[in-house]
Amino acid sequence: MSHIHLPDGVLPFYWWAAGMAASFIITLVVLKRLKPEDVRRRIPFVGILAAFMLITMSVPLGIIPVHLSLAVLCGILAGPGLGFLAVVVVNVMLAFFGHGGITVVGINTLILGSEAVIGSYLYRILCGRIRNTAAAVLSVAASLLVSTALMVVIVGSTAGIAEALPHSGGHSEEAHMETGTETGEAPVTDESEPNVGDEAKAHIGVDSLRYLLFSGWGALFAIYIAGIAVEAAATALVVNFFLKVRPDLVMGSKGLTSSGN
Amino acid sequence: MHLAELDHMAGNGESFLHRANPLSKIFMTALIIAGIVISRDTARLSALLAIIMAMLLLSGNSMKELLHLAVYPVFFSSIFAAIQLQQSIQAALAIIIKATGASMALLLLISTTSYVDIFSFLSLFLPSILVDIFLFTYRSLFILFDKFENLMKSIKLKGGFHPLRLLFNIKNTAGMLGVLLIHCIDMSERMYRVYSLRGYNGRIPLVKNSRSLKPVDFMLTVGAIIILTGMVIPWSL
Amino acid sequence: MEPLIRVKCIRHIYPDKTEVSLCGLDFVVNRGDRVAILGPNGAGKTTLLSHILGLLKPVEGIVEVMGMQPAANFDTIRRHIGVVFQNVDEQIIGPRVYDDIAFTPRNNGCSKAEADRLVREIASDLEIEDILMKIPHYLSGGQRKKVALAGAVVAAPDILILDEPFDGLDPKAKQEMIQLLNRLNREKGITLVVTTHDINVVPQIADVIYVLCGGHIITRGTPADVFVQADLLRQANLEPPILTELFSRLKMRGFPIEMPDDIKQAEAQLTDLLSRCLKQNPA
Repeated sequence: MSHIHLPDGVLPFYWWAAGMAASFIITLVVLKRLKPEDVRRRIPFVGILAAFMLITMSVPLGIIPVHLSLAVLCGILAGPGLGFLAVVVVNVMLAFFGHGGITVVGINTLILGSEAVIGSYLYRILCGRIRNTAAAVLSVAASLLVSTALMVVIVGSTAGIAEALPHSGGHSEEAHMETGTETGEAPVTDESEPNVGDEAKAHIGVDSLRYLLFSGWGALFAIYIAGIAVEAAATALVVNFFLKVRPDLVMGSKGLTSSGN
Repeated sequence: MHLAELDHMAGNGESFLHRANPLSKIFMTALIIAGIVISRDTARLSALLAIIMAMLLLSGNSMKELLHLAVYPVFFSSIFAAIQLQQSIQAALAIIIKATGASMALLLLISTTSYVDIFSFLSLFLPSILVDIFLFTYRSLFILFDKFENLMKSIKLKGGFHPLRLLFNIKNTAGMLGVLLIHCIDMSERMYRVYSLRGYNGRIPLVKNSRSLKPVDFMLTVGAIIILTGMVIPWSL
Repeated sequence: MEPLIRVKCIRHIYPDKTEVSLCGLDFVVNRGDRVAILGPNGAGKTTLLSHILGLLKPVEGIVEVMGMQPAANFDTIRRHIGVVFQNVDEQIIGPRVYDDIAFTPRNNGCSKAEADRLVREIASDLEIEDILMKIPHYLSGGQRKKVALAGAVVAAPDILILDEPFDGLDPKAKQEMIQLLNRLNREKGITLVVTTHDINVVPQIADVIYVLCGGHIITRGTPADVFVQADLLRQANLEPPILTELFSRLKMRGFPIEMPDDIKQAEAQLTDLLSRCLKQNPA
């Protein structure tokens, strides 16, 4: 995987609502820019690209727990705008199958869509300056790093960076309570156990991450690096394949049609 | 691919949920998810998850397939739950139950409602071009997945896939994906030609659902309202 | 009477600079004709059809459909032509059979009521009323072909173009398709243009045959005229239909028989011939 599918219940309302709104606005802007003639030619292609991305996600790679998304490749072939549209469709459909929450489909779309958009622009800039395969690798790596950073920022900022460092004892629980109040979220209590001690009563924002403990991040980081490497390798190999078979599609491409958006 | 199984379940089921009006099911799903997202009580979340599972059982669909799909939200939410675990087991459990509950509610919807009805509903408020992309994607998935399966079989039969050889797999998979992608591009060109000939200009007309509401629809709607109310109001006895 | 379709020595250059041409005899189709186009892969069949449909514009040559240049009058021409491509899965757009058949009338500006009437009428004609609310990818290959055909003829086109319509059909479905097409031609006056590799069905579906080879139209004529030109057919990687081959050989041996159009005629002639032989030479 090149990113984690955010599930429902992790982010606070304002984050996922904002994500939905932002994705919707970007989608409308892209659609508005399509000319009527482009609609006939491009819409089937976007649908097929989205189907291709969905199928790619089910390709087994072996023992490692990652799958490809090829969002950057789709951005390279279709252009940033249509690549983003394909990502919208992919994320909505994935949400229906439980890969990622339905409330956070906007955020997931922005994260995955950023790969398609950034990858597309980066490739256009780089492919005239360095070898196409190298341009593909760099585009993928850079855009995945950006999308991962975006996800970390979104998830991390719901906790507050200052609270991300490990604390100890009661001080941490007071800090938890204060943070909970500051963000306007009431502490969670388990009503079935009214007499549980302080530690258990310490607020837990079940829809916001309070603490990013470094012990969990090491493993995650390793998985992400492996995912980026796999995605970059696969994209570069596919681009290389295309250069032999259909170079017209990737050589300094602006997308498949002359007015690639 | 799960899509084919889910599509088959939705189109061939005979339960009261399959017969219910799509609008009432969508409304019910929306309220259940709202209840899941708003509530923070693990007991209530667990009860709601149990209700959803019971409804899945009543739908008569394959629980094996549906529970298999439940693994994904459990896995992804576990990552976030693991971080919360150090604070409280309940917090961690709540994250997992929320993610799983929301996903299972959606699976309940799509395993009992034809995708055509769902897209018809989406067409009420989404731009028509986006709905068209959804329809093209759905159609293309079935076409491409057959090709993908044949290519995977071919690779495996020719010794091109080994569970422990990552780089080897990536190389062969990339080649296969390249072939599939070229096929996609050719297919889209052919589709473009035939759709132009049939006058496509940005809107696939869909027959809107005109079924009247039945008692089961009112039951689902009222039930969903009760669930939402029960989830968000801090009842105390 | 002016022909419905006329193609004369066309040349086209694709974006990747590949050049294709189709010369030789003129390709002419009159109203009400049933035309079959035969030829090996790469002969130019797809190029020909694409020019007729207005999907390609020739850099040289003449392409006229109903007196107009198709590429320049695409939106006008397409309303008069129905198409069934080889891979019908890529042609079925609507999520349900009804939606797919209604697609063209609705895009042509028909009201919902009018589109509904047209859909139900053609579904009745093609005997697919029972699958109108089905999702296409669960239908059999033969049913999907019928759905694609319904979608192509629902708007009552003047011309119906079919690219390999019998591909992938079992013998029964093939016969059903042949009968359907002939009925559409006979009852609705739709001109048929069919490409096929299945030479044995050609006598049942065509009044005129064009044979293409290497970018040239090398011969045209009725099935009886064309199928006796065995050498020319072999040049185009074609073998005459079995019946034609048999009757040709019998005729060459001096038997008084004529080329049959179908198996019934063949049976009648052979029965008559054998009866006369038995009378002359009782066992």
